[in-house]
Amino acid sequence: MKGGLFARLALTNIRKNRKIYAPYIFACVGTVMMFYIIASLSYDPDVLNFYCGGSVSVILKLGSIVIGLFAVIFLFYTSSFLMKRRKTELGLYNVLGLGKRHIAGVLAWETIIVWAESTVLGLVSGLVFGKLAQVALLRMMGGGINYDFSISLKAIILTAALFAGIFGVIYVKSVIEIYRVNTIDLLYSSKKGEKKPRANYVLAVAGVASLAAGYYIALAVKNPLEAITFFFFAVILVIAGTYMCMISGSVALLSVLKKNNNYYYKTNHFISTSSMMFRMKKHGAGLASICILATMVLVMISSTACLYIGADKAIETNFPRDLEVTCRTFGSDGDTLHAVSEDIDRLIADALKDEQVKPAGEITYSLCDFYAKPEGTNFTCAAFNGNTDVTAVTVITADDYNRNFGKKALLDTDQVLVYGKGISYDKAVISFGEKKFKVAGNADDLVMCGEDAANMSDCLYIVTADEDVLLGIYHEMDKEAEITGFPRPGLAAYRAFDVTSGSGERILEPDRLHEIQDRIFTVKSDDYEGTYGKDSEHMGLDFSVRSRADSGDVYGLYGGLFFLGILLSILFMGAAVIIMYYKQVIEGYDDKDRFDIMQKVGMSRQEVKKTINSQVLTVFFIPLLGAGVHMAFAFPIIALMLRAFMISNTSLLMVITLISFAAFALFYVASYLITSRAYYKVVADR
Amino acid sequence: MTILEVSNVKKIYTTRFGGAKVQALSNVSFTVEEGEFVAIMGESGSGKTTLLNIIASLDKPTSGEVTLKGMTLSRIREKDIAAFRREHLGFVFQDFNLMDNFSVMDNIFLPLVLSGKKYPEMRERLKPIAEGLGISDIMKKYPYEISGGQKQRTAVARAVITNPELILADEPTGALDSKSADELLDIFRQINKSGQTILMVTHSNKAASKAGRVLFIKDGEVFHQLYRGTCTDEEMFSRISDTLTMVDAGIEAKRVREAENGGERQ
Repeated sequence: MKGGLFARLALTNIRKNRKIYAPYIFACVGTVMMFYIIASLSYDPDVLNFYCGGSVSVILKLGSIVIGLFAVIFLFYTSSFLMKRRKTELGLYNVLGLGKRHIAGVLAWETIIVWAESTVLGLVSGLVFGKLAQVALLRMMGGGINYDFSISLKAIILTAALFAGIFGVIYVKSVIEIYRVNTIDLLYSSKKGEKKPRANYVLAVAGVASLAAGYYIALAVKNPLEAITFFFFAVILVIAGTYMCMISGSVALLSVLKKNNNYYYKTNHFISTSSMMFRMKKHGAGLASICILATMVLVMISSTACLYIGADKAIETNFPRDLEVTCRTFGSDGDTLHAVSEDIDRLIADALKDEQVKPAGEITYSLCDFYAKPEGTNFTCAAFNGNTDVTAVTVITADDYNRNFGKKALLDTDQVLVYGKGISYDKAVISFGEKKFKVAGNADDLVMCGEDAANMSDCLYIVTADEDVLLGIYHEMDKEAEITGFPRPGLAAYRAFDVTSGSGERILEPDRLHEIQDRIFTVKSDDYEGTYGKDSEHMGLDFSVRSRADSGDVYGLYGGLFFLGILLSILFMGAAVIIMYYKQVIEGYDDKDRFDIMQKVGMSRQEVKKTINSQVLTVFFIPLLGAGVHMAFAFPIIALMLRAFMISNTSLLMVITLISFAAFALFYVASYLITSRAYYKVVADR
Repeated sequence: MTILEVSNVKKIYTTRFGGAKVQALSNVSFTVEEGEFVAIMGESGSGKTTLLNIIASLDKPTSGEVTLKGMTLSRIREKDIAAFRREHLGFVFQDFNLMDNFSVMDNIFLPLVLSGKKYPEMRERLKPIAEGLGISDIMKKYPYEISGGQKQRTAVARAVITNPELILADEPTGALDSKSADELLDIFRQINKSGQTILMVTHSNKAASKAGRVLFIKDGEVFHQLYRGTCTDEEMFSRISDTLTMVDAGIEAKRVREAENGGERQ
């Protein structure tokens, strides 16, 4: 009998508190939906069966963990808003004779209703939008569309259970809160005097230091692989710094301003300084949360979009042709290079004949390559370390350059052309040990080896007059490497070509390409190795065949990452809007009284409106500003990390970042304007 | 010299959707001389707060005029009205209306800062006022840290620091315990003695008994007024009580009369 009463009370409560309950339920539905979509996609057979589906599924599983954690924090946060607003009402129940046990009963019903409502609505919309998301994901991974509609029971159970758990914990927390305070406090809790904000200078300084350290890491790291590890440290430092700065730093700054009588007691500063102190004390944490969410959205969207959009271009440069064969020798000479070149041509011809395919669009050149550290105009031997201070240098001849790329470059023996990736060499001279050259210009239209294009180090191609000059550089660097103990330079034959069938059609199927690739490998090891490898023990050998068929993985993976980036961004932006909405409503209730008083002591309505408006505006645009600054400092380290994913196009990242920021700012302003209507409704309600 | 003149003020509220009209003030006229301490008495709903809001230029009368020191309020331009209020009027409210994000000192400074006064001058003005009101040692505190009596004295300090022509007090003792209320009324009498004109709205006989003159409002009209003359507070108190009884009886008598008349007509 009592249960029925509680349930009815609970229902009326939710209906009566629509204004603050609706966004909460909306937030719950949204989180449930997102979680279900990600979880179901990570189990989706269509995704799993795709050729890079395994790794995408792992990414999605990680994504669902992120969303799960986020759901816990976010729902806790929003439910605490609710509780704060409702304490008076619950206190009234207490006074009217409902015991705390009964209030706990009403709360239990409320929790169950909200849980059931959001789980059902969330799952239904998850099922609807899940299919849409699946189609989008498969498209982004470069696959086709499947029109089957599937329901993942596993994901449904997981979702329902997770959110039952979260709501359970939230319920326990509110009950503990109810039991801990007495009735009077409950009744008057929303009217309790606001405590004076105290400037915590220690925390403020710590916040600034933490931010500075985070920024420093982001700027100081030079190695793409280290960047990934350090990025996490930087993120943690910046998050901590943002919270500390927004909570304490702002209050500290304002109280310094307040101590200056000449500044403080001015009509324009007086009211804004002291009320900003109260606002920042109250909303510092919320604003920091909005700022962090905004930064996360920007980082995720710009980096994953850059990966996805850059993938096309990256595949094109990382795999200039369907197949690439490189045979690199160490400690060798010109004669060996010629022998290797002949062998490799024969070997490829034989393999292709066996497979009954023909080469097309061939690129063939001999090269000398080594890692070097540029010091002014001089390049000295170095080892690959992933850092950007070491450059991969490749030397080719003008003959090869002209033949392959349709050029007519004529060079003297002391002249070279240069072509850089990641760096642009703009000095007039260049030297390798004793060998000094004049830079005669840029080697336009040069196509690098795919390996170099995918290299996270900077790459520099040097076009020399002829093979003698090339060998001259080779021997010079070899000598230097032997003395200094760095890896020795390589002398290599490079062949790249597309594969066509007998009738001249391109062969695009990854599996077929892999077969041909394997054939070249097998032929090599069985019949050819001896001719140049066996008898010369001092001579090292490195034989590799790369196939564009491997690029599918990259595409699918980047598509999956971008997809996850979009999904998480939507979720985070939604969360930011909900937090903003609650902040606006709370500000509204606070400002309502201030409005009246200020008018009574002699400010006109317009003046009051102006001061309050400008404060609210400042408060709400701090997070956007903060996100912009964070993003600016994060830019170099993001660019560096992308290199580890074979994208070294910094200008693309720049454009995408700016577009993302502009779009996000637009979204932010729009949601500010929409939520501020809630604010004005509260304030004008007199 | 007449400082405030209220003549034939009428106020009718119309509900938003043009429905019922409520007459809050039907026809109020009176004057206040410089240096007077006037109390306006009336029950809830008698229209006394409406009257005060009109005098404070927070509300406009439907007809009639209010003149403060020769200036007709209805002729002041909308954008100047806030400055006018700030410079010529001081307010003391039942619920104090202190800003909780300002310290006591800053609350008192508020109107001066809004008028663009310099900090040294503000300090100069504050000192004697704060001492007179006995709040010098709570200047750095915040409103939630002090008692109701202290809050109201802070509000009085805020009202007098601009040297206004007229102080308007709306139920100033309403939220205070009797000791604090007595103290506040003593303060009012003190500042009145120093030449400050005060107009106080109240329904407390005790508060009204401290005034120099008491106006009684009933059903939107000035029904009666009492001058102190040479009376003591106690005598004044009993005269007020008598008057109130008379007012009630009078209304009762009127009602009976009307009922009889109505009966005759039928």
